[in-house]
Amino acid sequence: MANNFEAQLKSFRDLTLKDIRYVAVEAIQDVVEGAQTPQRGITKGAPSFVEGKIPVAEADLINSLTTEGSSGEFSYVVALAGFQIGDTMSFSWTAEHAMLMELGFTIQLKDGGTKEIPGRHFVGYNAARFQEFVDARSKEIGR
Amino acid sequence: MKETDISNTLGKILRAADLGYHIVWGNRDQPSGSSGIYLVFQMTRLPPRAIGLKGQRPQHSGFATITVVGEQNKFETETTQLGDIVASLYPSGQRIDVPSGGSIEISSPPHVMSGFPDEKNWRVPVKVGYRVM
Repeated sequence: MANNFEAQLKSFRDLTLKDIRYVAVEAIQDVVEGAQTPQRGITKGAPSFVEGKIPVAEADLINSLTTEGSSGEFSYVVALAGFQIGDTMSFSWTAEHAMLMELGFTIQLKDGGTKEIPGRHFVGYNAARFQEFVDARSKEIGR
Repeated sequence: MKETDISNTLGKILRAADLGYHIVWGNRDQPSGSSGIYLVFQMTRLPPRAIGLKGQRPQHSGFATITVVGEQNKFETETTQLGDIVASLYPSGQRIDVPSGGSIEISSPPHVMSGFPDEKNWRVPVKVGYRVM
């Protein structure tokens, strides 16, 4: 009887951990996929931009995503497949101009003036939505 | 609450502080020929969230990025100190009433980020998170 009860508790615990892991992995993936959602770069003829999407001109920025030492546009997929609760995982965009695209920069104009290029916030925008993603994924499992 | 109310309210705090530096607002450029330190104000709005009971207004949130822009090849102390001053204008938890109704809360401690160079300048961003109450 006791063993059966313990087994039930273990089963419940495992189910809970499985659910927590599902929410964590999916919500983290939502953040990174959001950040990796491409938009045509201004230098490639786009008339405007939106915040929260990664600008793509030569694709070097989107391809520079590095997850736990592995680089590539979809490097996060494999890494997240092995994610366990308690793990720490880092995602970095290693292209030289990544920070400029994220937070904005100044360009020099031919007339000697300058122009402020606003940041795209492709990381910050999606990271700030993490709680929203967690809530949405939690609803999927009914908690 | 309208998005313009939010950006105007947060922007007015910076303007009212009268720090003595030119502020570049959204969709405005730094005037030609000017030099020295200046500030750049940019709003990033998150999608409004439907939370709480049905029929309640969706919650607006997001963050303002106020970037201190200074010259390259100078000690970063001045730009970082100015970043600290900007951050102190938006203490976490502060509620600011909006004339058209409602209030905005600074939702987290402002973050004075590490500086980095662009082609011309040294930039120190300060991130200020907010949510509409």
